[in-house]
Amino acid sequence: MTAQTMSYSARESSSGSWMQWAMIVALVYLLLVAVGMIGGGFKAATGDQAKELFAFASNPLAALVIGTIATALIQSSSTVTSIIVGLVAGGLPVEIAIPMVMGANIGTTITNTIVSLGHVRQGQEFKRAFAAATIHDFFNLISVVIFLPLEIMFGFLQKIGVAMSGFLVGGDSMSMKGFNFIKPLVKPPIKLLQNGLGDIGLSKAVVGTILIVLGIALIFVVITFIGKLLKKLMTGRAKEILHAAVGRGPISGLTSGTLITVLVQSSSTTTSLIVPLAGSGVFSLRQVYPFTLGANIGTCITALLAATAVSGANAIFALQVALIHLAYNILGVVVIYGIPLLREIPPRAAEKLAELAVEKKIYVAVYVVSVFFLLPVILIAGSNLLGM
Amino acid sequence: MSNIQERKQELQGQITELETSLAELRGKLEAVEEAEQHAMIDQLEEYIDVVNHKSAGLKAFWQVVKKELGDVLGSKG
Repeated sequence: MTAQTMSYSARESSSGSWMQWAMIVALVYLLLVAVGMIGGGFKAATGDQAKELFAFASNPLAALVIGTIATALIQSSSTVTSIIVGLVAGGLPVEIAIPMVMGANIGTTITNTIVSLGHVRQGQEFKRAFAAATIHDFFNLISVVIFLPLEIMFGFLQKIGVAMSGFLVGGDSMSMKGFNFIKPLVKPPIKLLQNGLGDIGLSKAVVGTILIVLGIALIFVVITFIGKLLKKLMTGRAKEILHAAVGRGPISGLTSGTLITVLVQSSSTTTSLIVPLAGSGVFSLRQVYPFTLGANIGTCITALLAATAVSGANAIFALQVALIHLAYNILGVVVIYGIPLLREIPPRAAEKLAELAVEKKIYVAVYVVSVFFLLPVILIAGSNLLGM
Repeated sequence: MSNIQERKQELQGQITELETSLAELRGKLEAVEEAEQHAMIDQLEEYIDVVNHKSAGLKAFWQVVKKELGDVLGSKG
């Protein structure tokens, strides 16, 4: 290759990556607009009656199940938590949103479990891959078992959310209100769409419903595209982060998992990435464990970003939910990974299940159907019977 | 008595020597493992898209489960 063609291809690749970054900026803007659309849509459709609309999910177990199943079906916790932020902007009470966010954590673990099934014909490799995938499931399940009852009894996560949001936007000296340039950028297209739909004679309720549906669809499409683009652009940086983490212990693994998830905006990508790495036997289950937990923390960035788009009286609650999601995932790591007795439960459970899975693959099918679909239905039915 | 002391010292010396070589071997093994991990990370492009190939994995899994179920039902029938 001549120097001229090399310089031409370098220029072309740099302009290509510049284009991709411009697209990401545009997509992030669309994500913010979409979240604003959901909030605005609920306000238009229900006025101040949104709380009544969400009464069906006032049972925390029902809310947990909705979060789990929605995420398991969509296979993106970022999408579901961004939608939840939009719903809170539209009037969904924070106390209902909290179990939904916890459910999103459980639902997202189905993706890497499915990825691990690709190794099904390779005996020991499948065993390691399946254990690396389900360690995330067990961690998130234990996290809910510990924190959901505490939240129901004491509302401690909600209190943390109030304190954190107060710290960020409440005080005079640290107020972000004056610096939030996102809301004025996001509002005009939503207003334009709302007015346009109103001008063609649609009622407020119909306009609101259209905004909600469009907002949800847009979040789904935008996050999918952002994930694809970032994966292309960030593979090199992800490699650097992983190289730097090798041989440096769990804190480094946790940090690299967080950073890579922030870079690719998808915990499923991060947790699925480790499945073949662990499956090959090159990385041990104990080595990938903290990396997986980092994905839980890194994925919170999308909802935080989404919360910046919300305006109006519910903006503070939308920010609270995003901060609660972050606090919940950090607390999970501190408590479960920090206490040796609890720390050992996810890897041991994952190893035991993987042993069974190697023996009979039908156990895998039973496990996936039970945890992600059957158990949630039983939980709802049981709690309804108990009159919760 | 002095023979016993000498024997003890000799054994302690051997233990120290063995421990040193064990630590050295552990260090070497760690270096080999880390080199293997770095080599795998260098091929990250191959793995980062793994999340997009879920349907193939599910298909393969379903084939295996179907065969297992067939074997179970066949042996009962």
